[in-house]
Amino acid sequence: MTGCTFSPHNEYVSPIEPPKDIYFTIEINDENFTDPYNLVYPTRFDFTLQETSKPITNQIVLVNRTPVSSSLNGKTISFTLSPGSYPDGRSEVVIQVQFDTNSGSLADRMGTEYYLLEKKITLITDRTPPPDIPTPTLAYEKGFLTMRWTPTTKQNFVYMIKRNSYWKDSIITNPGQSYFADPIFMGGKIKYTLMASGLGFDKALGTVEFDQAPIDWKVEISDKRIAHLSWKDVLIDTANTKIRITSYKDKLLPLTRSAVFEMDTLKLGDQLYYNIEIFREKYPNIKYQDYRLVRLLPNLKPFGDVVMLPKHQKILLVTSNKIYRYSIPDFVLEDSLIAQGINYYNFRRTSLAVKPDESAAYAIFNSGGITRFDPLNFSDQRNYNLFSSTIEMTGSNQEIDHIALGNVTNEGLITLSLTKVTTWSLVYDLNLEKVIWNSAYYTGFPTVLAPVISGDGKIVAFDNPNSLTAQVLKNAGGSFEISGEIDKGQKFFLNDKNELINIPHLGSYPSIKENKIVSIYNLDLSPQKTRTLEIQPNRGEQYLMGISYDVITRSLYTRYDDITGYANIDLITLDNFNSYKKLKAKSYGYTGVHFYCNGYLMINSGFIEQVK
Amino acid sequence: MKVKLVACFVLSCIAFASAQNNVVLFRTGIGTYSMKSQKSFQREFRTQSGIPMKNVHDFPPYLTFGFSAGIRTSAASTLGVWMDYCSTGGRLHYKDYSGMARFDQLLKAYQFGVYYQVQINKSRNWPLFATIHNSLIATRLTMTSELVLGKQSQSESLSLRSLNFSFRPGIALQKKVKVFVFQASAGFDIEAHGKMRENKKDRWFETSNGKALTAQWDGLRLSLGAGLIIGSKI
Repeated sequence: MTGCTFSPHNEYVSPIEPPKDIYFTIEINDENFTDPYNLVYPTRFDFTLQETSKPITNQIVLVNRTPVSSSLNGKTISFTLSPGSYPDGRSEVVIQVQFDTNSGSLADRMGTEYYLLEKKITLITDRTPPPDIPTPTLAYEKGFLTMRWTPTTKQNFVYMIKRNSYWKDSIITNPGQSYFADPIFMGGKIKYTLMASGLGFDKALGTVEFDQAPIDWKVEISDKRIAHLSWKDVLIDTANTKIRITSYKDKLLPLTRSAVFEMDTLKLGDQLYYNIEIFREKYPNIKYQDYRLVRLLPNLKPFGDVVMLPKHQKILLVTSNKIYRYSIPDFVLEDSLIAQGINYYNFRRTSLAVKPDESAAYAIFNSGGITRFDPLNFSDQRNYNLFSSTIEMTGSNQEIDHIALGNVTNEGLITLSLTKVTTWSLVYDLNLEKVIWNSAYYTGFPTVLAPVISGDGKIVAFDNPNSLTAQVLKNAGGSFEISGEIDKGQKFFLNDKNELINIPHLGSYPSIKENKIVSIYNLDLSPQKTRTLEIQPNRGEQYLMGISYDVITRSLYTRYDDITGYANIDLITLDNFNSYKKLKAKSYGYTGVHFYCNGYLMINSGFIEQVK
Repeated sequence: MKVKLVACFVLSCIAFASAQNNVVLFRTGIGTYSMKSQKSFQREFRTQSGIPMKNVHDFPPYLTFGFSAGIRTSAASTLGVWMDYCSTGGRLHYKDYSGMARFDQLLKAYQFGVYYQVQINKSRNWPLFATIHNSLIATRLTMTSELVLGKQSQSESLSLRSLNFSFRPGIALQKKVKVFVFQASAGFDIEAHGKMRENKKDRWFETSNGKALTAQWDGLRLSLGAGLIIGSKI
């Protein structure tokens, strides 16, 4: 029956030819790879076949004939080997790569026909740490801080450079390397620890410290108070390195081997921090930082009060125990006078008064009386005993607690306030050496502002602490009679006779709501307010902190302090109350009390400049 | 049951031998086979294999073998039993230097049944009969796949069976020479197409159109036969 049954017998034979043999090898070009390879850490190997026209169809990785997991991505074969998986010694890694023949044959279609490429490498695992080495050295080399050490013959570890900072550790995978040039350290203080890290060990091979600025820099102030920042002797590599300078200005510049920059013009009494940051563009957050505090040097001694002698171009400075005389405009110290016990306060004309013709000066050296001296010849002195002169007025033998001076006329009338438990305002005749007028006494006001007297000696004005107003007196037949009332404040006669300006007090905490009013009075008859100037308590974020009047230049002075620590000063002419000069200086809180007198701006910490 | 069948067969032989002008005929011929379902299955196998196999056998016409034994029921009609054996197959094949792949479908069928023929002319020398053959047709399909790659080979074989009814109308022309009889016949087989099932398992294949794999033996049957007239008076 079998012979009578249909039996398939035809065949189809394809004319496909077998693929031709190809010959190629794998060469590993990565300079970091050596065969045998010391496997120190779990390491990912990526082998990228660069010159393959045939597609890779499969890859097999065997370690000691045991397959390990691998992946193929394009032409890259990747696998990770962990040294802990292998015993100390050598292990053989075989990488097999299968390439498609693209022949189209049945075996090709079934995936069983391929070109096979095989590469063998050897792994070494070693758990014994390297021996000790001499202490490494540190020095700048070619612009980089470089640590050098003596390498060992062991190859089973990587170097880890640990820094005493938050920077990441640097790793050197070549155990034969003998140096490390730190690419990110910019200078200053640092400590390095050289570690050998291998399979099962982390051994410290040495620790070295370093502390050296990478740059020699300074800030110098010229005569015109211009700050120049300069540097030289840069130790670090300047390629792709920036320096940021911060003061009033912010400059970001390429770091050069040396440089000089004009930075800022400092204000009177100024002090300024200059900060520098040096960093490489690649590591902007790793910086060398340094700063310099620059202060202007005072050209006078610190003082409490000052009187200008414009006719003789002199300045008298009052300190706690001396009176100094300087020449202007060169500010040469000419003489000094010991004035132990002198009183001065933060009000003008409280301790020193000078005749308008500058022929004599009067100061309170102690509470007993007034000392007259020649402002140009300190050795010519005379004392006035106010204690005895005022026994009758005060009706008390108690010693004088305090005297504050007002002004003095060329004819020898001087105003003052005197305190013996209670306080009086009075006019003292230096020629007759007696009190020619005194107020009623006040209690509870030990620092009463002294009265002022007109140049002709006929009008006196004073703040009465017991009243909300100041009072004006006129000399009528040898006695002073009340003529009228004016505002309270500092008072200055604008001429020898009848014109007076009143500068309102600001107080310790000036109001930021109320305008301050400067008033000019005509005192011919009863006081008449002829002109006023309202001064705002603030200009935006600038707040009024000072008002005064300079008798010599007949200028009003206003000072607004801003939030940056600077004073913005206006000099205002009395002619039309317009500002004719604007100045800038460090504000009170930083450097001291400001004065303006005879065209000079002064700060009582010892700074003076002529306003031009 | 077996005893009853043997007894029935012996009694039939005695009755057949005692009768006159009975005919025993052996025949061979050729058959054509539709086999649409098998061809569809073959095409789908080729597509899904991913191998560029060629269709080298496509269920061609092939030889048939059979015999019949009839009892003359009248001067012009005969009633009898018959059996035929037929086979065909398909093959997908691919071969190159690297290996070989093939897929064979070999189908064999046995038909058992009864026939009835009645003379439709009046010639004594060349009687022409109209014939009707009814039968059961038992089919066995053997599918074999083989893949050879280099020195490695893999093959798999699977058998399926089916049992269907068949109806074949036709004509037959006879020539009697003494006790010998010669016959040429032609017919067209029409079958029911029951699904082919794996041996002893209620599993079958379906083609992509959702129909079960079947054996479709429908087709033309041509045959020549020779036999003896038993019980004739020479």
